[in-house]
Amino acid sequence: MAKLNSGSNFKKTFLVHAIILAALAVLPLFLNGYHQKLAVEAIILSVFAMSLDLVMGYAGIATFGHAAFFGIGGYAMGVMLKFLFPSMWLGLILAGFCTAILAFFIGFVSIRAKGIYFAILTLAFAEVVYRIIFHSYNTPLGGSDGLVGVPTPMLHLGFVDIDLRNTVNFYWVAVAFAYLSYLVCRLIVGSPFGSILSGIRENENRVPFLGFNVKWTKVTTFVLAGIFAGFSGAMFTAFKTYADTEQLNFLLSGKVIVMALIGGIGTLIGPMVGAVVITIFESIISTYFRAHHLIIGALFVIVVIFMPKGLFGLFARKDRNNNGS
Amino acid sequence: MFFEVKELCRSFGALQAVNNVSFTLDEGTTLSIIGPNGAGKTTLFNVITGVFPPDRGEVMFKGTRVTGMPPDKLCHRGIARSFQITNIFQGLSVFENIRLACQGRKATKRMFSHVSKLKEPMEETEKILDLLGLLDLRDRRAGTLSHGDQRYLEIGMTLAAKPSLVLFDEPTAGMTPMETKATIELIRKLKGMVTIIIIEHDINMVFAVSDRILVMDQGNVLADGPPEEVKANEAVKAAYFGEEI
Repeated sequence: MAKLNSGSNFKKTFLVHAIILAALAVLPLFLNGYHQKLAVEAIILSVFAMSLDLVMGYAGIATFGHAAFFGIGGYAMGVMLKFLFPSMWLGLILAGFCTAILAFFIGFVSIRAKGIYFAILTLAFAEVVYRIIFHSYNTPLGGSDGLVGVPTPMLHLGFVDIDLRNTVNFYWVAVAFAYLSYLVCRLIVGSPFGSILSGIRENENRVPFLGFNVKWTKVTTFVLAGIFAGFSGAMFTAFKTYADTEQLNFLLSGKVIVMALIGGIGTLIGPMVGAVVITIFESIISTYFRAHHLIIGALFVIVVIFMPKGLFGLFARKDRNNNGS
Repeated sequence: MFFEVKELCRSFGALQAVNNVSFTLDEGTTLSIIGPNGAGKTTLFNVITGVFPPDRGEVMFKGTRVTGMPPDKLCHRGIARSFQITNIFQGLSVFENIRLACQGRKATKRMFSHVSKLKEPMEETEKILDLLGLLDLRDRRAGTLSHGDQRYLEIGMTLAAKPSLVLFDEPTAGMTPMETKATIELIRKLKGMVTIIIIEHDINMVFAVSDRILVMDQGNVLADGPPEEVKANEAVKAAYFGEEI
């Protein structure tokens, strides 16, 4: 019976995924150029918000400096495409490598601190990264002007080359990127490693007595989240054809927390939904109101008070598949 | 020697919480540690299990020095402990609490398979839930269990690590008389399977399960011996304010 249930669950999940992907695939055909671009940005940012969910929603670690990884990933892609080699793959590898090192350093140094102290340390480190890049006028990074004129490359898939200058092509690649990232993150949170994260979130002090090394588990999570944030930053730069300091700014670190909380943390898909909703909502209302952040702030307050599990929490069923029952 | 504590000391400022405590333990024995509140019993557990480093002294386990070793490493070597104040994962289900504990004793090579596909921890969890009588509550969120069931869960998590030495810190704290009786039965079942050190205030339980009793008072060892010998010890009676034990 259990097998039968898990089989039908798998079929159901497969069907839901297939329908969502099919809907996403045809969506740009109904959008104008501006909205297509907005959709690409929203999808790329959804991976950024999901990466934050690994640390914040699953391991229960608040971080205020997540934009540092998004920005560094973006600059890494920019440097690769503009100065080294016009390859998306190499750009992503460089972005992953740079953000992994940065996340390891920040995580390793800060992880002894807990709660708000850890969060403030991440904010401080992110600010240092921001300041260094902001003042790097005489370097190829371009200081506060940003790294502009990044060429958009072809994406070589072996059997076919995709021209990413075409927005619809980029959109499809972004959907594939987001879906793959989601699958990998789902694998992580459903794994034995993921269950240690839940333990840390629920009661960090008990976890070492069960035989787990909390420090290394937290650093590893921080690095994994950093890498995914770096990948999304890299995609963002490739799409926008520039990398600038706004991608590193603490405002973005704050915004991604708002996205994750509005969508619903601890669900992976919630923060993705939150990122899409906020990006689209912001774009729509900013045409009518100059003070659109005020409305987003109000929305945030309403969600936090009345829907603590976020928008996705309203619809999500409780995940109890891990119980083997 | 299976387990040995040599001249262990730990102070907090002017307070000498554990003062020159020494004892040895043969494999398979059950040792109870008793003493008035503030005698240093839990601090002794905390020093043994690496929560605080000792100021002085040694802890030896199976011939190896394990003094100040962090709890995760001690767990891998076979030392597990429970807590006086229930220390479980409130937001996880009963099953998840035990499974996580089963998962910790050795590193899995299948770090990225789905947890429900890890055969050994899943089977082990079922066994422990059965032993504790918690099978019916497997899907309940641990935080919603009654106090007694949370205490059982606490014991179960400690056993899940398959330790060869287990330290129980007041397992019956806050339990009803019925639950205490069931816990005594459980510890009796465990006797012989594992070596046990137990801190306990319930004197009935102490005499029902112990092979040896160690009495502490103000950080010092007041008496150490078989239950009958300790019962007759004048200093022990005085520490309990003349109370007959």
